[in-house]
Amino acid sequence: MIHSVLIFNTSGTPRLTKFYTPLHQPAQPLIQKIFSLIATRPPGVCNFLDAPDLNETLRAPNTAPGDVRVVYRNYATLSFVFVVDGAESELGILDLIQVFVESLDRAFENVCELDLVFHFDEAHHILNEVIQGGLVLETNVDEIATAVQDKTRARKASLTSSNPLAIGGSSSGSRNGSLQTPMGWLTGRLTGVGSR
Amino acid sequence: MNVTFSSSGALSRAQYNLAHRLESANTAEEEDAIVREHIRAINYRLAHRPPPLSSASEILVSTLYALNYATTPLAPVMLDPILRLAADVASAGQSTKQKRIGYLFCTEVLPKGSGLFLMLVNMLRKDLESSHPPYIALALSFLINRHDDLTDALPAIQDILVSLLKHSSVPIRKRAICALSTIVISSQDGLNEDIIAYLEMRASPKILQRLKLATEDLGVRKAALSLAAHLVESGSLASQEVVDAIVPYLSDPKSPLRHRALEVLARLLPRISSSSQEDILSRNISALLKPAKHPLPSVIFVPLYRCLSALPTAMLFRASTSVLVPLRALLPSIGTNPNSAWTILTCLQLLDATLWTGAQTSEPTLPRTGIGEVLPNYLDSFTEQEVGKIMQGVYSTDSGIRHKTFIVLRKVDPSILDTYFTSLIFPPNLSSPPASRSSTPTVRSPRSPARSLPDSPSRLSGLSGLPKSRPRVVESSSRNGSRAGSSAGSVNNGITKSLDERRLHQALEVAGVLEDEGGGYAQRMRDVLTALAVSRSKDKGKGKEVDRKRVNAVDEKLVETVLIHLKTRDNNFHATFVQASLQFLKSSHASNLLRNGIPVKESASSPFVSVDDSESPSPPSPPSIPDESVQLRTPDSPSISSMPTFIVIICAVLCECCDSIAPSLNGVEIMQDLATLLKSLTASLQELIVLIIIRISALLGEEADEADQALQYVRDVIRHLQASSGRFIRKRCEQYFEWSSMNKRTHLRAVIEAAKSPTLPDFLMSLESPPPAPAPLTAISASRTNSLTPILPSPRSPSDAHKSPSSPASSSLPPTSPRTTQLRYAAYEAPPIVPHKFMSQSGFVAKPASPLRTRSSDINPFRDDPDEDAASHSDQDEDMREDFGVPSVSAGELALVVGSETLKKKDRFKARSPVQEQLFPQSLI
Repeated sequence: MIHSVLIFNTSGTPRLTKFYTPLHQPAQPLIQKIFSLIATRPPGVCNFLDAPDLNETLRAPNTAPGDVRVVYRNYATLSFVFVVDGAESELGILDLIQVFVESLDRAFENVCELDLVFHFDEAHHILNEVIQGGLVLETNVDEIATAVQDKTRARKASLTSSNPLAIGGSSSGSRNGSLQTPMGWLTGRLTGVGSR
Repeated sequence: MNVTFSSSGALSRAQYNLAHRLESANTAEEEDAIVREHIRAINYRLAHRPPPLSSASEILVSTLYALNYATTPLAPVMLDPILRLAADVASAGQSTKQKRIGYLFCTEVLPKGSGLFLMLVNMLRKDLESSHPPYIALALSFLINRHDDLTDALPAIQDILVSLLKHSSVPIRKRAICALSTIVISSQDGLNEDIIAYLEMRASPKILQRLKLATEDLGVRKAALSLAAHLVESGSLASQEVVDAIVPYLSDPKSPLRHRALEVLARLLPRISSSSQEDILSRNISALLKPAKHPLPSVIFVPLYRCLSALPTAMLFRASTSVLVPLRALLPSIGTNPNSAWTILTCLQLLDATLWTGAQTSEPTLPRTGIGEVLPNYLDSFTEQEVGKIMQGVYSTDSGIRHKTFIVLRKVDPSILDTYFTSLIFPPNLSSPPASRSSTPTVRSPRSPARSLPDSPSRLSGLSGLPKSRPRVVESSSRNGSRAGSSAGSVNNGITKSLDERRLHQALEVAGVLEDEGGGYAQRMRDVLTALAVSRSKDKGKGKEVDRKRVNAVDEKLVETVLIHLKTRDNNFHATFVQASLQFLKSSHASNLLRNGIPVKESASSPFVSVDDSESPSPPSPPSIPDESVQLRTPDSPSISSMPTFIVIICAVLCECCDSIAPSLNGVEIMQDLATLLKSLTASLQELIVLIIIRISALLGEEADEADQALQYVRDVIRHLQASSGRFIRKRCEQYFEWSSMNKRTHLRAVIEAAKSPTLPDFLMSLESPPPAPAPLTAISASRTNSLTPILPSPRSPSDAHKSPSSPASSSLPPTSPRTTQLRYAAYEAPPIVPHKFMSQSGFVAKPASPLRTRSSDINPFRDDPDEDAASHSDQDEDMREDFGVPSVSAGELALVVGSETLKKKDRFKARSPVQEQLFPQSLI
């Protein structure tokens, strides 16, 4: 089972955190601890590590002690970290990270850290297409991309029908597609969106 | 964040500004302040100018983003208005996106046990029955993520859930299976067995059908595989039936289901008959093990070897199929790709060593597998070169790979690892082991560095050469060190020391793999720490320029290694570890005294010894010196005062484990033993010992006699220490006298319970700021309370909230009600009459508070302070007392009351300075 999925940048700021098992302590120290585990890894070591000190916090009641493992992979400025139990194959999880990253990349068109900052609800959405409740739901990048696109299309259609003034609905999640048109700006002013 | 708004991709200026401020914050306090300010602004807006649903999703997205940054928990009341908005958006959203964001916010932020779940149950049911597939998918996702909070709703939706297994949409079918899996497999606490049995009974035939259906979507079949394995384990499906359904997946080399099918097969193989096992091995698994044109993808290696490990070793011998072919294909990359090394070692860890070492293939029997037959022909095994390549993992810089290599070595022959341990402790450049090692044969079998390896077949020669060589890391670094040393002697000393320490850290890793029993682990840890102390003292004796502080420094890495290892072990291990460590303390202390020619006194209650100093307090009666301590009187064995790491470890372990192993401990004896040590230690260790004595005094029951001689001795020692020490130690001694008395013991237990964790630093923090003393117990309740049982309820309010499986944001909220059935299936049932807390004694019954009143107070943006809350509740109570007897409240009266409250709170809020706000963030919990 997958206990949690985390994305950090190089300075340790969590860009996405998702826990699938109940925590037995506050999340922030745990997140910092997980980051410290991977941040102190020298180059040239493998992408898996045993994390027995996370046992008490993350272990499900029916798993064996010493079972919690961290699988991580670095992409540019982001580290993708999956905390799993012994039932999962480490190489399988490594492939799953690749699937998740490719899905993000397809959805955001050259994904970067900013996409996770300003569209992290989309990132959650894509993660939900890959993993649900700690179980792997889909590993086919094409299927995931199709599901995300279908939902984006359905969302746009429903938004357009509910808000005729909006051109093209809300942003698609892409940085390039989110530039506001004058009509969008006007809509924002009229409906109060964006004003503080 | 150096990016402009236009190129940021932000949804709005407001989101951009918020992100910019949070990214630019320099401290966690600044981030918290920004988050709180944002939430207050949102609450204010919701209270005064509620946004339309169309723009509510933007508020939810920005708030969710902000909550990701909150480092301290937020008051539940702060998030209530936004949570209500999220529930509204999820249930009444006009588009899929709105509903999705509403659901997402509720999934991540809604605290466990929140009353809002009642509202969401109806919404969930409505969406599950919807004809719009995206709504069904959203509801299923919510159910999957928060199923533990929705157990009350399950009877209402279980039939819908089962019917969704046959839904025409593939994503819905996948999610329905996933929801069933999480409910049936991962339910954390006491889900009604009837519900689970019902779901399993209804779902089993459908799941089997999905597995067998070749035209079914791959994703659906993959989801069904995991659930099928569980259904077999719970007895709802026959194992042979499921195995027959999944075996065809193995034969297709292009099937993406092979990996998952092998994982499930590994779980089911032990449940089927041996004839079926042999059949699957010969037809399906052997095909995977044979050399092929296209090598197996490495991702299926571990599941494949799990299947092999689930089969009897004799069966694998009889099949005469080499199990090493896939691993051989991976072997060339072992040096360049550490992931390959990890995979190979994991696979070898799963296999019986006889299958790959070739060590016992000529033996007539295999004792470990209990086979009493002559085994067939010689099975394939690794060559010496191959074994040597794999065993290079011992020298890896990756601790995980080292650990796995040690486990594999132990599986081959524990004595090889034992010899390696000895070579790490006593490398050739160090002297022979201390006399204590060879003179303590009763503890465990002696480990001599000169011990020869057991007779091994030639293929094991790759292993046999192992312990004689030193780790490559050490060698290469030594070379660097000697080069550096030629130019700067002090640098050389430093590097050598660090290398020695690294070698000893490795020895402790080996000890963790070698020992299954706490006593043995404690002995090996003692060996490592003794070697460390000897190494340091020799450096000091040779006149090397070694920093004195470093000689007496605590090796934090060693402490951490031991504590982490103990966390993976059970209470028996802890108990034997503590007993063996305390025994070593005693013997080491006694030998140290005798070596210095100091006469000792003996104690009847403790085998510990103390200095015969007329000024110092003496133990109650003469102890007998342990036999081992006599043997330890050698010039090489270091004194306990030169092993600060050992003292820190035993203190930390006692603090963390003493409650769980209390039955096997004699608290008074440990206190006395530790007190005896006090005089010979440095001030920092004295502080530690006094703290642990305070901690252990909480273990003493009511029956502990205050006039007990041993306790009196402890008091005398600490009084003596108090008189002769500086201000800092004096303070700790005062704390001992303050907390150790019998009438304060209950309060001390409350202090321990109030600590964030059982660790020593948290105990100290809790001791420095103790919670208020609990009210005295009545005679009856006191007599019923076990003396060792904490009397106060565990103060877990923040951490209970953290138990919800969601993002950190959700963990900021404590549960609002205990786990009881909350759902009222009878519509419009009369609200229960709740006795008012002020009037219950006099027999009056209060009318339920108006929902309007509750809402207006809850959405007040300034109600983030519990003191204010308490005050406002008090005000409300006052108002309600005046209201008794009044049949109803008019809208005007209500507005006046609400308005006056808001004004009062605004005044209070203004009076509360920002400094106060920052100083007491915890008070907002």
